[in-house]
Amino acid sequence: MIKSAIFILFILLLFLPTLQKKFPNWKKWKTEPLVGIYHQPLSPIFNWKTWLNGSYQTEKEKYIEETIGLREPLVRIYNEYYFRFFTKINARDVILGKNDYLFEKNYIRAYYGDDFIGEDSINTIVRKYKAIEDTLLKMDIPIFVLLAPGKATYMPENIPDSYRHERKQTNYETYVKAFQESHIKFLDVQQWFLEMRSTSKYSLYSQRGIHWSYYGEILVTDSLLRFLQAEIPTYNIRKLEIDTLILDGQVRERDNDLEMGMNLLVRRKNIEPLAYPQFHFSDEQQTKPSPRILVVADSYYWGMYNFGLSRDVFNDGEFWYYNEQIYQASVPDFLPLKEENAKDRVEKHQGILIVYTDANLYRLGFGFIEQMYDIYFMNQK
Amino acid sequence: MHYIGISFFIFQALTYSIDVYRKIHAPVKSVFDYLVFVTSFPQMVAEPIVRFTAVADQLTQREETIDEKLLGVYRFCIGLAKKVLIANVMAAQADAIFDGDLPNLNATNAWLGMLAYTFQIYFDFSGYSDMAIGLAQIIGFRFPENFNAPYISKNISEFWRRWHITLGDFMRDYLYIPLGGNRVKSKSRLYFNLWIVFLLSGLWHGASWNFVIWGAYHGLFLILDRIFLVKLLNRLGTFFSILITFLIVMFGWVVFRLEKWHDILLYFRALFRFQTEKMELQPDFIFIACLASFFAFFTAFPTGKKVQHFFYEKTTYSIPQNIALFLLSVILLIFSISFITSSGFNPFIYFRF
Repeated sequence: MIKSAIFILFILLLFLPTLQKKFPNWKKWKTEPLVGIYHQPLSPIFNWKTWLNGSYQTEKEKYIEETIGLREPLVRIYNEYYFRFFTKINARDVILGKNDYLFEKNYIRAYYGDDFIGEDSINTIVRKYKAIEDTLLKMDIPIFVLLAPGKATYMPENIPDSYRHERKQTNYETYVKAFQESHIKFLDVQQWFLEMRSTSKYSLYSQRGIHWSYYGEILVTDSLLRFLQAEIPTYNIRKLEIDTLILDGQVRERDNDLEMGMNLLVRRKNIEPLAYPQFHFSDEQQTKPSPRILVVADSYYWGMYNFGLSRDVFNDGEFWYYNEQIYQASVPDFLPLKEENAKDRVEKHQGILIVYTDANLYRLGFGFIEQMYDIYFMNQK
Repeated sequence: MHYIGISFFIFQALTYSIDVYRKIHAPVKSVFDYLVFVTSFPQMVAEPIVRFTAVADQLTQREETIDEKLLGVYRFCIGLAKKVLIANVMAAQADAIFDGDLPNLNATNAWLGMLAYTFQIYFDFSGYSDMAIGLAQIIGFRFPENFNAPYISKNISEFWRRWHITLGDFMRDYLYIPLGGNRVKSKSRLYFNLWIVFLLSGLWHGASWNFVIWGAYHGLFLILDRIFLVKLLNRLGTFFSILITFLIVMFGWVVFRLEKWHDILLYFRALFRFQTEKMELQPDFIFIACLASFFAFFTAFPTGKKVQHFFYEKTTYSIPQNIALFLLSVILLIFSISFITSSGFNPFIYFRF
């Protein structure tokens, strides 16, 4: 009797993935979705040609393997096993540094100058930037660059030994020099973070995140708003006011986006609590309007966008994510950026802010500067 | 286009025709019984090679007991784990080396690759055999064993009594014995027959010259065994005879793995360069290789033999033993399925433009 029950139980267990796939919303086994960008295969359509050449079978097998029920916990078991026993991370380009700090490889490449594009390329971009800056200023549209820090540059002592080598000239250093020589106004948050590192009361980078910590992000936002107010005094830039500060051992916001992307079974403890300022933006002044500011940025801006910077301070300005997708608080879904209406969109704003981290300086603006240059200079000819 | 498992089901179908012709067993009475035999799903496209006489009576009369079903479950899960958790890991290491830059292959990595492939092929084949035998047990069939700790063999002759046993039995009964077997008049004819059987065994594995050379290589050692090698190895003692036999088998696997003669030469040149250089290891290779070594060789010891008997030869377990084996099987099954579904999952954290 017991033996039969064991056998029946085993057979029932074999059906669990199928049942979960058929009824995924039953709360007893509703699984947390996997984090990250990955391709979900579609079930192949049968035809004789694909069956005879074997491609149907290969695709079907892949489809079944990757859409099996209970896949999420199964993937987490696999990832946990490999990470715990072999420190192998199954997320693209993520590596474990010293003292349990996670890094993305491109930040390490940026620190060592492995992605250096050359002085000539950088000088060309800066020259084009200067030209469009002058043109946009004539239309009362100031443009600024914020050089966001990179984690590897901020804490190179935590880079694993296997990735260490001689530093070469970097894009970051070259851009800073070129901006200074061209008298271009920019915010060098990278340098600011490095100067603040030993004196900052709380961590400016978390162990498990790609980007600056939430605390670091708030500090940057505060300084950015002060900078913008000083630069465009005819407008009212709302201030950031901190109400209170919470220390939490459990990471919040994007402070563990790297670890989340590892899709582990068990959340790991942080070595120190992180600071989470609770804040609000000051009331709007009636005397001066708020500027609509366009932000062209990489993922470093997402945190600011999500806590309402574009919506509440930049007057519902657009956020051009990697100069490809347009996000706007008043629009429910993103739109693809089309070249033909880029100029009109830019000119609807009263200011432009470009935000990129050092790992993306191999292509500052991701085509925005070149595109604007072509619009205002090349197409006019 | 390749026909999956053609070498297996052709051999299987042949056994029916030959055994019936030789009157070893009466033919089946129903075409459906014949179809059950030929299309038996647990092993239709892979080992073990199930001969007609081995299962003829089971086609119409099987005793299905709950003990057999549970044994089948445990066996299946162990086989799946051998394939997914050990063989696939060894394969990743072996492929990285064998498919890499062979002209610049260093000795360390050459030995590493050879060891990895040696374990890959054993745990892959024996794992699949376990799965087939386990599935068959669940539905009431008793298939013949196919592997019996082949890497503890003390000579090549013993190796072929432990490795792919059903193929060896097939070749013996349907090729070697009809050629005269051990009863031929001259030793040279005996050696010739042995060599031919192994040449054809090699060819059976694939339509490529490297398989024929591999077969000839083993045939040569079988002949040498009969001439002097078994006696010599016995004098060296168990440890050295196992080690030397293992080395001979490993070198053979290099030939088996690489299709082109030029690549085989490059690989052997790398093996004997005798330079120690940095190993290019997959992260989980050392741990799994240790496990693989343990499981491959532990039956050379008395305790290992007892463990083997417990897992592979017992016909019934007590209730507590069943519960423990059930839990072990479920853990192995969960891990195996997680490996299958997850090994290709390697997402970007953010979209890359």
